[in-house]
Amino acid sequence: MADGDTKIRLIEDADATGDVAAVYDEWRQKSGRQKMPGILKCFSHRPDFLRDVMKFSDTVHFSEGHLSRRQKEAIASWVSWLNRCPY
Amino acid sequence: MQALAQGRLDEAELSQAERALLDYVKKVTEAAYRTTPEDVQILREHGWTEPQIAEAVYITAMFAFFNRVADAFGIPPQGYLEANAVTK
Repeated sequence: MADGDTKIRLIEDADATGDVAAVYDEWRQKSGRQKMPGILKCFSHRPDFLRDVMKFSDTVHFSEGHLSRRQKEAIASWVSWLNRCPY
Repeated sequence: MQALAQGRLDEAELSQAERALLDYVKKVTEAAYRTTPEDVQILREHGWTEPQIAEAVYITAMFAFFNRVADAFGIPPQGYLEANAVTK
């Protein structure tokens, strides 16, 4: 099931234009990776919201805080299993 | 981490405090309305601070958000743990 086969259509890397393309490029530059993760493309219908999503997940999850990165990853893995989310 | 991603809490290398935190995380995930002050007190007794407990709730709720979206869209599993760099 390639990304293209999602239940709700999302904007693929190659089809992104305008603000969606801009936000995708911002992420590529910041992450150093080329292919957008599926979870981020889910927000492609609202690129402004996608920016907010990347920002708040960066702020609380992908940074040192009160919990260590390892503890946060443990919570993330455990919650995702509890929510039956294979992603 | 792999054990946790497959729901095998007992096989994950966790301290007693971390195990207590994940038990609490399960309750917040499945029935946050049923959590009690006593649940939180147990975490304090394991040495967790108020900011750490609060942050655990933020991460728990944030991943519920991502899980719902990912499942609703039906995006294929991409090993979120490897691709966890939403941004570096």
